[in-house]
Amino acid sequence: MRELTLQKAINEAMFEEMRRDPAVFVMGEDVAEAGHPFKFFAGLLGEFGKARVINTPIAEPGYMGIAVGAAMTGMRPVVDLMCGDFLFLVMDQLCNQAAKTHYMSGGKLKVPLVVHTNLGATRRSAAQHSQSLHALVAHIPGLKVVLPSSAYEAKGLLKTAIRDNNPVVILHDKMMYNEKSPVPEEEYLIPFGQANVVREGRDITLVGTSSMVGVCKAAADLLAAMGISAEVIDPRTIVPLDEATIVASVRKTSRALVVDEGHQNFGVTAEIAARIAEKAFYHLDAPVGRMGAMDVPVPFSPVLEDLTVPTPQGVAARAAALVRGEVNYGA
Amino acid sequence: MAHDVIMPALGMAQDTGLLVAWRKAPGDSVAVGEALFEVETDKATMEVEASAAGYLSDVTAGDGVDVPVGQVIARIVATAAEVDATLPKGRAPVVSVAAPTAAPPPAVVLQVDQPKPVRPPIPMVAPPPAARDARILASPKARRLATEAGLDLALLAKAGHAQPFHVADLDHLRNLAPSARSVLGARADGTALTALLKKAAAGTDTARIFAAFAKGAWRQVAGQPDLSVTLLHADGRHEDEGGALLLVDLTGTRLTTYSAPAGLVLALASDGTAVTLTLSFDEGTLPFAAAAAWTNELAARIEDPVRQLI
Repeated sequence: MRELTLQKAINEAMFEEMRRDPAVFVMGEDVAEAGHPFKFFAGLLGEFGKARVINTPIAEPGYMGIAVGAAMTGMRPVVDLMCGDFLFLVMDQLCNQAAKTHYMSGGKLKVPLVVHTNLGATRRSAAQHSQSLHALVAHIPGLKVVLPSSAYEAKGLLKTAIRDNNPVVILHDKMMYNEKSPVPEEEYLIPFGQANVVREGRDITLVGTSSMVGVCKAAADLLAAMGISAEVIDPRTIVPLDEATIVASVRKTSRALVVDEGHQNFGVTAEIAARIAEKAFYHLDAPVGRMGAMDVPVPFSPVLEDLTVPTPQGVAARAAALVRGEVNYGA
Repeated sequence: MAHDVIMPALGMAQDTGLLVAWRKAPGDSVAVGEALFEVETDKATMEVEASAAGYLSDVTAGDGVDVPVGQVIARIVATAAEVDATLPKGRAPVVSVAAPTAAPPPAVVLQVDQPKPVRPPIPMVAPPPAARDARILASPKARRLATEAGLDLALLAKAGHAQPFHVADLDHLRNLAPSARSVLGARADGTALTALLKKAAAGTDTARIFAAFAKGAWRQVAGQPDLSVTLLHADGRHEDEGGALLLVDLTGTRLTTYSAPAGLVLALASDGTAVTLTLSFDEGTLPFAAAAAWTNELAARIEDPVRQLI
């Protein structure tokens, strides 16, 4: 099968969906002539014109408001936020308006909006352009939150997001834009709320999101060399979350380690770990482990920045300690 | 279709609104957007407009009354014929908060008379602290599997195994746990015993003779003091409760063997010529060699009762 970069896979998804449905349009900073700094939207302007590929001023709250209104009145906007950090700027439009309109209108209005943005540190972009803020939006009922882990996943999930009648926030790790994976020529969609068992194992379940799926896969290789068999699960979407697949896996392996690049405090790892503790309690042979990004503003110093993000070596070491019964917290 | 007119919430922290005055009387026709009544909040006085057209009906709150927000204070009905200008029976009138001198309606008095729910007394003595030494730390799965397998985690703790226990520790526990039941069988020629019993007085209890033989054999083999014996007959009758040995007398029946799930149990059966002995025991309590020697000696005493005298 041919291999595509994640950036090219997104570009293909945009072409396919904009050809399929004239209500789909894209809006954001530098999306038109420039086709986005990461070229997700390259070529769209030539085929679809300025009415459907709209450059905006550097004014996220303004154009997010426009997009929410457009979605309410029948369009299907894809809004690009150049950095996930700018979610803070559009919280009202996204969380107070887009997330709640369907409910507050008694179901009369739909907001088929896609917010296309990113997450991830280690790009040397400093504290205000390196955050992984998906937990913020996952906390708000009414928003779906999608975390693709490869080019294949990104294309199938983005196409599903554009066809969804609810606001969807899709976040790619900016370190994965140039990573390649096999992407079929023919069209495919990946449904929300169905986790992917990336690798089967016996001794511990590693739940990873976004680029942490790759980290968990690499950790599983390291663990295999130690004689430990790790299962790797990619939830794909954290809202909706495929709890059943995760819990079934932990019931089988008896141990779990949840890895996510958002800050660990009050984050995605906390939510998933809590659900495992509730639903698989009598099957646990070790405390549920979790590894998020260090709870500090992301440092600009490359040496320090790299320390804040889980690595395959770190995940493998923690997983091995859990399997060997060495994580006791002073019990 | 009739529309409810409610006291609207006009501020974030507003619980009630003072109905200053109705702008319409019951039976008046109203159009959408027409002023219906005036409300005073802590910030301002506002006019509330009708949200439906029709005739004002069922007015339940008068001028000057403070009304909880969300409460229905009137209805707008479609035709003049539907107008009800009187207060309907059974509908509780709105209590005026602004005019506390008004007599409270009976419903309120009834509520006051109702006994307050009794709150359980707060215990004054703190519960004793949990005995920390007694608590065994184990993973939820290890604890569940131990329970399902009938394994006692306390044995691991007593053996000094490091806590918390995990599933892998259960293998050690299985080695520590009492071994499975063992059963020893023996056959003895019953001719001499039968001859002896014929000479004995009528009503002699065979079971008690066996018990005496068992005690004698025990003294000889184990060098231990007397063995206490409880007798169990085939009809389920027990004699001398609490003995260390349960002696099951199956003689006089067609039954041949019985092995019990727990304890030290000896079953004796006879077909007239041979006596069958079945001993069930825990090797953790009674080692195999001792059990074998004892059973063998007992069988020998049955074959040659004179041994009991030596």
